[in-house]
Formats: sequence, C-alpha cells, structure tokens
Amino acid sequence: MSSFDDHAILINALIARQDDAYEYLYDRYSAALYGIVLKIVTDTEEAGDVLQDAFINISQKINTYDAAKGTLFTWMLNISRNKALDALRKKERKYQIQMDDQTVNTLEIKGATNTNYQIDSIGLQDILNNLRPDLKELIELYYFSGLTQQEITDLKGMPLGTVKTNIRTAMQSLRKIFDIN
Amino acid sequence: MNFQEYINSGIIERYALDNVSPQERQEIECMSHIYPEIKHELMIQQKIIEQLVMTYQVAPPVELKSKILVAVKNNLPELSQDITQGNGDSIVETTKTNVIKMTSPAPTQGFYKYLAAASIAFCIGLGGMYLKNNYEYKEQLSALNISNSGLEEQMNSISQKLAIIENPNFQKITLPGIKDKSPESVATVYWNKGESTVYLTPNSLPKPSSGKQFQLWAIKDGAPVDIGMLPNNFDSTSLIKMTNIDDAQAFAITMEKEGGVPSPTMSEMYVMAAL
Repeated sequence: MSSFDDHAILINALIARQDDAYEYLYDRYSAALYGIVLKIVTDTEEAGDVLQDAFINISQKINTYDAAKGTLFTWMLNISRNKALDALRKKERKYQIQMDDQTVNTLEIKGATNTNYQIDSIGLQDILNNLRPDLKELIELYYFSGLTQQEITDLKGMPLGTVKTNIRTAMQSLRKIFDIN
Repeated sequence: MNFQEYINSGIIERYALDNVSPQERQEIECMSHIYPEIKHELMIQQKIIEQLVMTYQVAPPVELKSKILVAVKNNLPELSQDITQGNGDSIVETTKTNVIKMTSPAPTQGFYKYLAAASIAFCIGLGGMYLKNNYEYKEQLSALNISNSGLEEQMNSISQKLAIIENPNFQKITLPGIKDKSPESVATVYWNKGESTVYLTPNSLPKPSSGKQFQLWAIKDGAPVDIGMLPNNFDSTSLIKMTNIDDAQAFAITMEKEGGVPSPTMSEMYVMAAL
C-alpha cells in the first residue's frame, strides 16, 4: 500500500516532480501501457520508444489532467494509444482499404493481427474468449487499429448501422464479462 | 430529459474508445457535468476499456524503466512554465488578444461592422482636428459634427462592449452548436467569475419560433441554474447582461416557452460548452 494509491496525492507529487511518484507511475502502469502500444506498433523496440515518448508527454501534461473527465489510467491510455497510432501511421500508411478491388480487401494492420510476442497476462486474455470472436475482432480493429466506423464498414463489407450496433453489443458483453456495474 | 436515448446512441462508447470529434468530446463532457446518469455511464465505459486493456498487458523490457525515468526527468519543462503549459484543447481563453477572433463565426455582421464604423468616426475626428484651425472649412466641420454624433453614439456602445471583452477578468467561452440540433449555432459567454457577472453575445442563433425564447443556463455543482432569458430582438452583435453566477462548470442555451422554465428541455439545447 503506497500513499500514491490515492491519486490526488500521486498527481500532486507528479506535478512537484517527485522521483518516487514517477517510479510509482511506471511500476503501476507501464505493463498496461506497453501492452497497448505493443499491440498497435508490434515491434518491441519501437514500442519502447513510443512508451518513452508517452511517459514524457504524460509528465509534461500532468497539470492538465482533469479527474472530472475520467480516471488517470484512461487519460494515460489515450495519450499512449494516440502516440502509438501516430507511430503506426507514420511507419506504414498501409491502411489499404481498396474498395474498388473486387477480389480481396487487403488491410495490413499488423497491430490487430500479429501476436508474435508473448502476452504475459495469461488468464487475463482467456477471459476475452468469452467475447464473440467477431466482436473481439471488431473492438480490436476499432480500438487498437484506430479505424473509423466507416473504414470498418468498407473493410468488412458490413453496413455502418451493423458496425455501430456491434460495437455497442461488444461493449455491453465486455461489461458483463468484466462484471462492471 | 431523455438521456437514455443519448446513451443508446452509442456516443459514450465511442468517447470511451477515444473515437469522437473534438466537438462531440466537448458535448459529452458537458452532458456528463449536467447529468449524473451520463457521467455514470461514461465512467462505466471507461472502466470497460481499462479492463480490456489490462488483458493485453505486457511487461516492458527491464532496462526500459531506468531509461524512461531518466528521459522523463530530463524532459520536464521549467517549473515556471508549468502554469501556462496546457494541452491546447481548452476552449476557455482570455479575451485580451482575441477581439478579432470573436467575430469569425459571423464575419459579415459581427464586430467588423462596428470596427468599420469606429474607424470612420476616427477618421472624421482626425480630419476635424486638421480642419479646426482652418477658417475656410468651419462650416463643413459643423456639418460633419452633426453626422458624427450618430457615430459617436455607436462608438460609446462599442467602447462599452470593448471594455467588457477586453477586460482580462472576463473569460471568453465559445458555445458551439449541438451537432444533432443546430450545428451552425454559436454563442459567446463573457464571464467575470470574480464579480460573477455574465454577458452573452448570440453570434449565430436562429430566430426563436413564436411563443418561444432562448434561455441561458449555467451548470453549477452538476445542476442547471437559470441565468436569464435572451430578449427576442437580439442581433448577432448584442452583448446582453445576464444574471450573475459565481461558479459554473458549463454554460448552455435552450429554446423554451416565452418567459422561461425552471429546468432545461434537453432536446431543445442549441449550444453548450463545458469549462
């Protein structure tokens, strides 16, 4: 139990640049943030760079964090995810949703498809097996690949209304799976 | 208010999934200030995402920790800059240097009209100074003075407005239109929190339908507070004194029956902004 478990104390300490506060932040959140970054950029070395970039950004903007808008974790998550998506877009620009191509829609989103690294949250990932596979894929496309609903529509040849409904269904299923009330 | 409909639209999931436009973001943040139900739903959706992300966690390489902590330390800005460092997406700004900017929503009407009138008055005044010593033009000068008096009146009105919008104690809060209701609407609130004074410029609001009137709300401690009705003869450059409010997390305008109502009609919200 650390006094930093109280986020108000933690944030004040971060703003005051206390080394131990940053260390706590890293110890507490780096695995989650690294996980999402790695899921997006897939390359471990690059994921390290993005994570560093994200932590620097977090530390520089910590005084703009507003607890009324969400948790600290969500705030950091959004920063990290956006950094990773930026890096991915810079590197690849291969979101080739070829609507004209009758044969195959080639979508090269490594982030959503490659899992050639070891997810070490064994057991945690298993819980997602309770989610319908198509919904899991949808959420991954939407969240980890940063595709818009329209892009998913184009990619999957699915009506926009269905994409919207399915995203909502996916979130409702996850809510049940994680037992959040 | 039918917030269930709002929740059912799926917008909160998209917010939690970080896939909304800046305007939608503002809209939701404002809504969650007003309605605890929406805030509750928002928190739930964020929790779901957090849990989801946790299932993907991967411990970073051990050597990364010291590298990142050193990099963080080396990249922290000077302490003195902390206060001014923002993330750039705040919509609240002081008005000191933004007199021109506020006209942008209605460039054909707006304050340009007044600025033009002001500059004409200024030119005439300047011309008058030169003419003052010139006997030959005395008659013309008196004629000019007469036409100038109308402009003077306008000048006074402009001066009053400028005194408010240029006063650094006034926050300028731009209220953009609600996407699904009236995306082209814009209004601006000038709020002097220290003195609780509030002024409103309806930069671009539709003419209220018959028997209706716009009502301004402040959201204070999560509840809407009526802070006055807009007279129906407003124009886009009016600067209307509203009821004082000492604290607010958001401002919004709804169209209500003439004379106003005790609590806002959600579906009739035209503009809003969270602070």
